[in-house]
Amino acid sequence: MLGATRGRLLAAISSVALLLAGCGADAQAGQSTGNLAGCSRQPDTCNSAPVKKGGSITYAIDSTITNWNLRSPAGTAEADYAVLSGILPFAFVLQPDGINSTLDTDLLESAQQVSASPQTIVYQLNPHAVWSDGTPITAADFIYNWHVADGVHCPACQTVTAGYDQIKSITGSDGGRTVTVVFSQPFTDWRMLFSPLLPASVAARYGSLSTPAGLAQGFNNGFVNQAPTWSAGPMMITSATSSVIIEKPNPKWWGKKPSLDSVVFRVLTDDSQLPTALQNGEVDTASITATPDLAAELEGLQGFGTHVSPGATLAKIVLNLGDKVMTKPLRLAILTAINRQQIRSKVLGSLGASLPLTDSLNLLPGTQGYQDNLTATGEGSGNIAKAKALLTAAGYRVQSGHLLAPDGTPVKALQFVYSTGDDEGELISQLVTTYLAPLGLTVNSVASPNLDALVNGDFDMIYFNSGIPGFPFYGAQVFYTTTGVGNFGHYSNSQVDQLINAAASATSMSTALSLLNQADKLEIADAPVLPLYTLPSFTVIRCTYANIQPSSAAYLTYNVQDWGLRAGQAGC
Amino acid sequence: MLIARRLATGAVLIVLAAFVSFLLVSATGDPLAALKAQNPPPAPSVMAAERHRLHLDQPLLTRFFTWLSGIPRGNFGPSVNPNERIGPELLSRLGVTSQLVVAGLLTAFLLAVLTGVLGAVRQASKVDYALTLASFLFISMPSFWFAVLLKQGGIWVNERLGTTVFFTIGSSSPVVAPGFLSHLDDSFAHMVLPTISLALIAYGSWSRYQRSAMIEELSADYVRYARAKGLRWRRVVFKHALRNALAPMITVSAIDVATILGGAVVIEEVFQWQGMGDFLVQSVQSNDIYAVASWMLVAGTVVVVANLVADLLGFVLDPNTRHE
Repeated sequence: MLGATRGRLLAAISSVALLLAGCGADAQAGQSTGNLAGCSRQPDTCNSAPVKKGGSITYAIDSTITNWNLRSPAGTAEADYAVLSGILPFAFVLQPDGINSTLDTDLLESAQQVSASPQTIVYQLNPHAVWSDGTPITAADFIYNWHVADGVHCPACQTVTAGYDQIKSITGSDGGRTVTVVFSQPFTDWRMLFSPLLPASVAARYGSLSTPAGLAQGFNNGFVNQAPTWSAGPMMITSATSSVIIEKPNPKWWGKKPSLDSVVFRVLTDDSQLPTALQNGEVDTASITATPDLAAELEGLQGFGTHVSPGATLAKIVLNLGDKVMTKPLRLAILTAINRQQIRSKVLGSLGASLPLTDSLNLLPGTQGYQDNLTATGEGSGNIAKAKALLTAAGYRVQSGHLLAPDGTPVKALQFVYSTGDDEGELISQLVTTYLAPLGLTVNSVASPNLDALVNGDFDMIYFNSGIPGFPFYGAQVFYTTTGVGNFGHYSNSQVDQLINAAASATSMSTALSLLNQADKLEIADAPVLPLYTLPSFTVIRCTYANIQPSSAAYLTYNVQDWGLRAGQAGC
Repeated sequence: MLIARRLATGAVLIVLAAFVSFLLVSATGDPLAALKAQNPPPAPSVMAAERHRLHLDQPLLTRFFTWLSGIPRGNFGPSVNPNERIGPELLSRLGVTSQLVVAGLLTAFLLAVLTGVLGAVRQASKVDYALTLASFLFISMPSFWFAVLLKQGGIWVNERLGTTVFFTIGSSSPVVAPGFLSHLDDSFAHMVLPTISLALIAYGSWSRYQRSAMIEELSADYVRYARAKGLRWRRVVFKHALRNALAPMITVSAIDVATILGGAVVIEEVFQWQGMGDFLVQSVQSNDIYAVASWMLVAGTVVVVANLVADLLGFVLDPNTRHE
């Protein structure tokens, strides 16, 4: 009897031990499972099936919405996009592949460049397109969205001005349903403009549209502080608290009617609580940046499909050229000594097995014009011998294990900074320390809250992620031109500036891509940044739902009107 | 007089705590860092406007005193989140956390008194050994780990019953059927697991404290005298010994309010309650100076008031202290 009791006790203890061991198991995460099994081959159409009318879905978002204005720099969190994608109209919509933006045919019948000089775009609005109060969407909305961002009509409006500040005029015809936009200077990424579009009629209620102060009041306060009670999308917000947002179908929506009765967004700030929330039926879907362990745990849940998308955010190591110690030979040697493949393998585990390394600073794998500009240089190869040779050729030498500059002074210990709490960043800093030790370089790992060090320039090397999915020319201006606001490493090359600016103002896509690749090669030769890989986006969806596609852009609601409960059997 | 003195000391302590936290957050983080790191980054004019809105263009001491002087008027300073008003948000979060803390405190207190008394009157029995083992288990177990196990246990029960008896995230469901009973039922289903998790943070040590106090009282001369007089054992234990043993226990539990509040930070994170704990975590992560300092002010006030209440209860339960 005692033996049987002891046996049960041992069995129970073993179960707990196995449960705990499972937390750290090196499971093969990264495989598409269940209803999302086909998403690697067909990202835009997988998980498609007939759906029935009615039902609700709960979508976990990772942060409270603190800024409701998607046009405001502080309102561009993934959670904001997830909640507002079904509310706001977009001229062009980023597709699940994270690469292509396609015309929103509910909003626009067409958007075409009709002239290259001056660059002129004509937007033909869908005649049925209206805001939820019945006001038609017209040229007035385009003009409002231009005025708040051109830097002239409203200097105090807090938004990105790129592209809008190159617009010369916007005119409406056909009762405002045809919108003609003329640029003073060509803007290659013109498709990123008016995505999203804010309603001028609502803005007029917040403040005057004809004064800078009125425009600022509406844009910086009205749209920021109040959850939209208006909509021009398939859904509209019916309730919003700091932890839950509920959306129901927009009765004035002119497109395909949503199948679901409601979409509930629940704030789940700690991803590690997601598995139990899914298991307990409190959440049905989420799109996160998962660690291999969390991904393995989610893939093990019964009744859910999972998928790893390549992601649209580039992980990179940026060097600080503002410090004179970072000479070009030293930069080249550092980047050559770093082993990108090993970093991907250690950091992403099996999640990274199917993800390619990124061999360009400006274009992501799979995008139009992408080419390998990096491999031939040897950067990221982990070739220590080559790195040492580069240093020796430049006059550096190692004495008593320490690297000495050509003038004989010891090279200082380098600060490798990562964001506080970023386990991946910490691991990368440790790996970089080991890569650079044979060169005689000492590396100190420093955690920085909110990457304060990045914006303050207080680093020698820093790991962070960035990207402007779908708009590489504007992205290149931001990150690699001398005056770019995202050029945190103080990189400067006048030839690169010229090439990037020419690419960003070209009216032919092939010319623009060619110029951008020329700039890319020059940048890589200067070794200011080492691109690693795009951060994988992990999506989990309950098998009973159909027509939800995992997205590289990390928000799924771009086609929320198609979502629904499967009419037939569960998808897995 | 004593109360006034305690209140004055408490007020000074609260302001000092708020100042230190204000200083620390100001020194360690840039409230604009998240904005600066946006993709794409905002224009310099936007940064300048934010700097001005958050008073970052003023000296540190000026900022602190501006913030402090606004509090009597209900102005807790600007948050880095432009649509967040710190005062009302803190009040709402305090309401959420209060549910958890009060339920956790009461549960821990009642359990600790019950098992402490039981362990004392059945000293060195199997029951006492079992309770002692349980107490030490709970003292040594990390609360977040136990909370995760409890969640799994709750899901296991739900799956066996085929219905959701226990919820694992939030303090309420997004949609609740109308009616008081539905709301009560929903609140209860969300509160059970986090309350147990929070209660067990304090339960282990409190039950040991109660057991020791009770053993001391039971071996006192007045207890033997009362028994010798013929009083019933139950009356001696509950009317006389327990009353005396409760006084120090109340003081300890009031002092531990700070521990419970600290525990709530962890438990709220595990159960995704949007209370004071979550507010602090989010504020620290976003370098929200005024929000962190305001949190410290409110939490400090709660602890000081709890200590004051403990003193008052001590006066009531132990007449000797009134003459101090």
